[in-house]
Amino acid sequence: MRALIWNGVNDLRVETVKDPEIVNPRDCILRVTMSTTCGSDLHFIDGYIPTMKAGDVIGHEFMGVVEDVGPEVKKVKKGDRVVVPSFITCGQCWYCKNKLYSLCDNTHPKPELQEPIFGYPTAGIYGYTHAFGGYAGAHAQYVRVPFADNDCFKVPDGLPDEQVLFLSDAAPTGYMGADFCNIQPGGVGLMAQKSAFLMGAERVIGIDRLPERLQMAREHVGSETINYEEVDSVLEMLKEMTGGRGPDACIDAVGMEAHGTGLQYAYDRAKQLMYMHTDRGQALSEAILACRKGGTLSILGVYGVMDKFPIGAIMNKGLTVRTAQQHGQAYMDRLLDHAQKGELNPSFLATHRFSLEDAPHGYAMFKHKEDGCVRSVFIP
Amino acid sequence: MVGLALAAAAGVAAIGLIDAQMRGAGSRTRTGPNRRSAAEHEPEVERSITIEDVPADELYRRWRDPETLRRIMAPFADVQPTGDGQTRWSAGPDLGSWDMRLADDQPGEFMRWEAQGERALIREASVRFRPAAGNRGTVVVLRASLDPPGGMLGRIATQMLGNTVPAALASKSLHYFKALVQTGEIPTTERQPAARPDPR
Repeated sequence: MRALIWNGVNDLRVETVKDPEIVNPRDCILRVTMSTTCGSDLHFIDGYIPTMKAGDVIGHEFMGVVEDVGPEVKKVKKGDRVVVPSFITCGQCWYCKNKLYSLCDNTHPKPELQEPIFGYPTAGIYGYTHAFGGYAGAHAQYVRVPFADNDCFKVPDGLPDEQVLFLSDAAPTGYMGADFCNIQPGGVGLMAQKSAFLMGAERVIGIDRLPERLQMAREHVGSETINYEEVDSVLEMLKEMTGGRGPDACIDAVGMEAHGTGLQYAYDRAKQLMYMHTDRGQALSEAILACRKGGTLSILGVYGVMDKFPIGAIMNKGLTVRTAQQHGQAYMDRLLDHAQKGELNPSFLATHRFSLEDAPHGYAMFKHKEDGCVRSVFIP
Repeated sequence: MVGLALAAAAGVAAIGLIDAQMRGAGSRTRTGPNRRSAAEHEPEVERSITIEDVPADELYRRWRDPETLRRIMAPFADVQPTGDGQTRWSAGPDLGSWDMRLADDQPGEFMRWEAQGERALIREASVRFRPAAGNRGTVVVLRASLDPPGGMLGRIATQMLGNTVPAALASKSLHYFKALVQTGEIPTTERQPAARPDPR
């Protein structure tokens, strides 16, 4: 089959590799009908997350049609059209039973690579470094899905691929982020804003530097927006917009390659380029400062190792910090329901379509935000 | 036995790394597990995992099953039963093969094995099953005494073991055991697509 291969830092190519096969009894094989880029892919494409191996198939946000099932698969059937969350989960461990799916105990084939970094292994992810399991990814014609009955979610008839695709990762990540805030900013940020409204937020303010994304937030989500490159201080702006009180909840949907302005950004960028730390976290730092006293900070952006973190502001302001990689399986039924009722249609994220053969170009456009690219979508 | 598996898995770049992950056998009650050992002590490794919703008797039974042992040790060594409670460990041409004998057996609670003969990277190994606090399941404690790093096998192990230390490999065996008993399978990247000769 054809698949998008990581060959080294900023070296993606589409190559021919063998087809995946059923290995464990609860596996299924999916024929991928659509997959998409994620901002978190850029971290290892740019070389900031180690443990990639040359030859890895990448891609973790996808949907498809079931081609084959293992002998212990009970519910999923050949021909089912399904969407699959990016984290692989067993459904039977303590974490899965408590709906903390991305923390699953039983799906990491290489825990010895992750325990030194995080203390305990998380769930495995498709196509996302060997520290996260080393599983083959989904920017390919076919992908093996372990624990098919737990991780394949059947798509109701009538919902087009583009509306469902982002329920694999961007939508549940954003939804979870809003959920963490007890409602009371790329693709995940827009989904978090939309989700905040779905959960009853009165006002949502999206912060970005890209005019096209801010326009999307206003037009598709109904948010107010701040372009941080056009204001002297995001903190002051947010205080003004909220009557000096500050937002009840702040969501960081940026992660370790945050852009920013001023001295702190220059300092972080220089250190990251020298690999002195992997993370530049200006968006997170600003969220901590901007959040009202006693408010909630929800961290969705992906981080690796950060050596300076304003814990004093968190502690003295009594912030509640909620974080996780997405527990997609916990939200999928609600998200599909929102989609069927027409309340959630993330297809506006799919600004650019490519054949799988043009995936390297799709990633380049996505990385450099060319032509207003929010997400590149690949059709094998 | 696990230790052997561990060593065979080829993991240690420098003996100092092994050393840092182990503890002196004689001092463990005073210093806690996995402390650095004095050079003359036989190093030990200990790792634990908590398994929910599977009774201790069942865990004990599964661990005694030679097929279970073969599967959770497969990345490190080929383990085959030879009868009379003995298993044959084959860890590749450099680390060699040897037999281990079940020396202590307390159903539902504890098993301990001893190496037969002198040439064995794992001198002794045990697994204990005990209830976790707060009804959180069963704690499985895996412990292995390794051939001293100064020994001949230890030196070979040092050359063979790459980057992974024995304690990490003991932990990996426990994770595989937990996955197997809870889900019926062990997570794997075997035989997957990748643009390189070894796709794992």
